[in-house]
Amino acid sequence: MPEETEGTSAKVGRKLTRRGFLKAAAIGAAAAGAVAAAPALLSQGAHAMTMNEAKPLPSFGRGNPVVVYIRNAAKGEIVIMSGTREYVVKDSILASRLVAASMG
Amino acid sequence: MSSHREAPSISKDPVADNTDLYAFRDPTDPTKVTILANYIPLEEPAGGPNFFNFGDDVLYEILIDNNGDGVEDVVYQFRFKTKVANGATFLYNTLPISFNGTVYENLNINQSYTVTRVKGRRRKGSAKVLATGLRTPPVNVGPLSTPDYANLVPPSIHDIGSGRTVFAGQRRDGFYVDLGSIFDLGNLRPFAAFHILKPPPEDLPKDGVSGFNVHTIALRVPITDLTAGGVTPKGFDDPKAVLGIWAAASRQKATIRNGASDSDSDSDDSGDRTRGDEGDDDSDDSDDREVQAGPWTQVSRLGNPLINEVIIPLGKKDGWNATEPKDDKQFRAYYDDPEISRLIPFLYSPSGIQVPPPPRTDVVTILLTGIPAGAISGFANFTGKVLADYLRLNVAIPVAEAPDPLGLLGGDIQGFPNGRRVMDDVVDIELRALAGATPFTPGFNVFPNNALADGISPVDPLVIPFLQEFPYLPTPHQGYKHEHDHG
Repeated sequence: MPEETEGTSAKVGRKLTRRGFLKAAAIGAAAAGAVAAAPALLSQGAHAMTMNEAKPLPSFGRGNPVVVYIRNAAKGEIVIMSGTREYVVKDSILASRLVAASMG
Repeated sequence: MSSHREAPSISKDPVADNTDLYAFRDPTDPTKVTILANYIPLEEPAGGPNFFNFGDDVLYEILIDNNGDGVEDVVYQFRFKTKVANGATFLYNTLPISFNGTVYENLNINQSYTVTRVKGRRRKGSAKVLATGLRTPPVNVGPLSTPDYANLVPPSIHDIGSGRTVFAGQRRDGFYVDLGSIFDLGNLRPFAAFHILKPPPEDLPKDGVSGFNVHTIALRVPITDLTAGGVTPKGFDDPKAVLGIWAAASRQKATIRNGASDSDSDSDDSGDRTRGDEGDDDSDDSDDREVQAGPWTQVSRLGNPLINEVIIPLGKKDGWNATEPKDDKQFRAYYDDPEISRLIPFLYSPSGIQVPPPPRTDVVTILLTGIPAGAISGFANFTGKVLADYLRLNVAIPVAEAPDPLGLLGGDIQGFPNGRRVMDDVVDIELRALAGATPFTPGFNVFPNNALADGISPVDPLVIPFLQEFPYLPTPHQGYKHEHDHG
């Protein structure tokens, strides 16, 4: 379950999952940081979700850039920001993959 | 300075830097409170061609605690948006600027803003947009560009309904202090003869802020807009009469700089570039060189003058700026034993001056809780046990007919530390208070403690020509005269 911080919107964030994050990040107009450095990874993840999930996109990130920040790779803490909202997702595997991707 | 460039991080981010905060019962309409929040320190008036503006990517806020818990109950938020009329010129204005009844003609860079009132916590409360598209005046460029500057200002003073008035724009900095002397190892020119390092022979004090401008957000609202329950307090000792007021600036947590954008390589030089946004989902920002995302994160705040400047030590200043008043208890040690109170008897030891020993409950009372009723006749600005740094304004204390810049120390109960008026000499007041020259420590309310001063006085209107009406701060210096040379 993502952790919300001040400035977040519970009604938007309550369903944000790893898959949702990947999809939102992939459609962001200017996804940045580790995400921007891992196009292959993202396209793979986004594709997988598109194939397997028919749910509508969360409003989070729609029309706004999505910025992703790995706050603590060892703990798998990934901060996702769009508009004035922020979520913290804990996913050690995803964090490891993003870090690995950032190393080229 | 009051809070100009007072902390390492914010000194590198002037657009978001709170410099001064004033809050007082309005002398022209005592049913209202005027709050002035200044930003952008030491604006050089000739600083073109990109003259000073508010930050489109900054959230400016004025916050009011009306029940003494250190938490805001009413917030006014200000967001700015800049439009460049003609991106094909470097000019700020293309001919003399005039107001045609609708817009400022020949002004190439226009900034407008939105005012939002939040009831409750600033990020979670109930928000209502009070007004949007409000114009700001140009800066005072010089006699050819802004030949009648004072008359360019009224079109940017806006009545936004329900008795509220707002203004946002450049003003002359109303703060006054002998910076060059004080920051030279605490040298007070009037007391130079007593300084342990034997400074050069006494010289006339010099106002280090003279000749510079700031950007002001001015707000005048009915007292009932601010008090708990919207009541009109019954008297000075009514707990609902005292408000805690502070100002802040916040930036979104993340900024991504994309370098050259597509538009940089286009041949389109028609301008009309828009920056800033008015809400979460505004996607019409055509400038993609920078992307902001994430929650608003406070980078600057200001309540009482000079706190982060001289009370809070260097290693804590950035953290203090990011902290909320409700959490100020963590800084109590610096009020209990202020560094400047230790320096005074050391630097001026030839005078024999002594100050009260720690713990300085007098300083804690004056600056962190306010003064309870009964200590000073007709006065109270106590907000409760919560230690919080903010201006404490008792809105039931009448407007003084003849304000004394020394405020409460001068027997004028409307003045600082009851809120803060533009003319209040907060440097001298706080110097003396930190030296114990108040009624709370009568043994130290003696010479030279009660005469400490930097020597700059606002009494002469030629020194700082404050206005007698909203927005009270003087007309900004123009660039052409270069008035540093004269004052």
